Amino acid sequence: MNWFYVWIAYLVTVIAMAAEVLLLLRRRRAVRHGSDLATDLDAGAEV
Amino acid sequence: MNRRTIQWFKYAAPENLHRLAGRLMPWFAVPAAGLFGMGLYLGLLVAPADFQQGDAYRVLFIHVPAAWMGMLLYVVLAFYATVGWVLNVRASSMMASSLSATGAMFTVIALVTGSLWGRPTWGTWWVWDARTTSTLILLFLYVGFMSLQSAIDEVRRADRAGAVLALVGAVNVPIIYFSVEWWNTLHQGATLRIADESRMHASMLTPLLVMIAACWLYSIAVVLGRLQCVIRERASSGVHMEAAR
Repeated sequence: MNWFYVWIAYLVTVIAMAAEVLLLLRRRRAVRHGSDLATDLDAGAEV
Repeated sequence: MNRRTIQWFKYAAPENLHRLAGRLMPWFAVPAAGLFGMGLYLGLLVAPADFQQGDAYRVLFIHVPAAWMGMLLYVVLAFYATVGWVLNVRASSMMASSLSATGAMFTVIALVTGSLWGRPTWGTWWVWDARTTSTLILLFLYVGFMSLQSAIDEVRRADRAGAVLALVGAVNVPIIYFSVEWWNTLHQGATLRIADESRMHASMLTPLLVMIAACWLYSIAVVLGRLQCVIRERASSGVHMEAAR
């Protein structure tokens, strides 16, 4: 029975971390495609 | 001023910090994944069961690192927010904004895993004792910081308001840490002591330290990734140019 709580705890952790990483990747993609000025940062443009 | 000092000041400029964050991120993300795998293997398969709690204690290998990261990231957030406010350093305020979501996530993990550990060992999901309540307040502080920042349209004003909240809320961190010593609580004492030798056996201490290292590296990688987003978003909205006028 104790293992049940352990597995749920690790499952919650994995879901939380995966959600954070996915949201971050989505935000990065949105920002990257959102603006020419922002993408110019990669080329070393001054802000 | 020597050459090295000048190099550090260079990264106060958001465009330089953006490039540095992009270069550093993989160096933290890849080892974090490896250490998580190693920590889970050692913690779930190699470490022996506890003689009192059985296998339920294995929640500790994620609960303790998450609770530590929740507190630590808040201290770092408060530091950067204050530096950004007092010295008017844009990069510091951006760093503070980038830290909040990861800190909140680790605090949620600490509360949920603590509850899942409490059920088989305390016989209850939740108690309003000093440690759990002050950790819940920490989560509210993170949520308050993020809400405040997103509620104010002008970014520089949002940064200043967030800095005040972060600085005031920093008082809560020592309360969380010392709560188990100051008050008689159901929560056990500190698992790891900074100035004292650990009372855990090496077979249990090793996976815990590996998981703590993994959480550190994960946090740095994710925060650097989010920092790049914040810099890009503020660049595209022309915030720096407005502030410079």
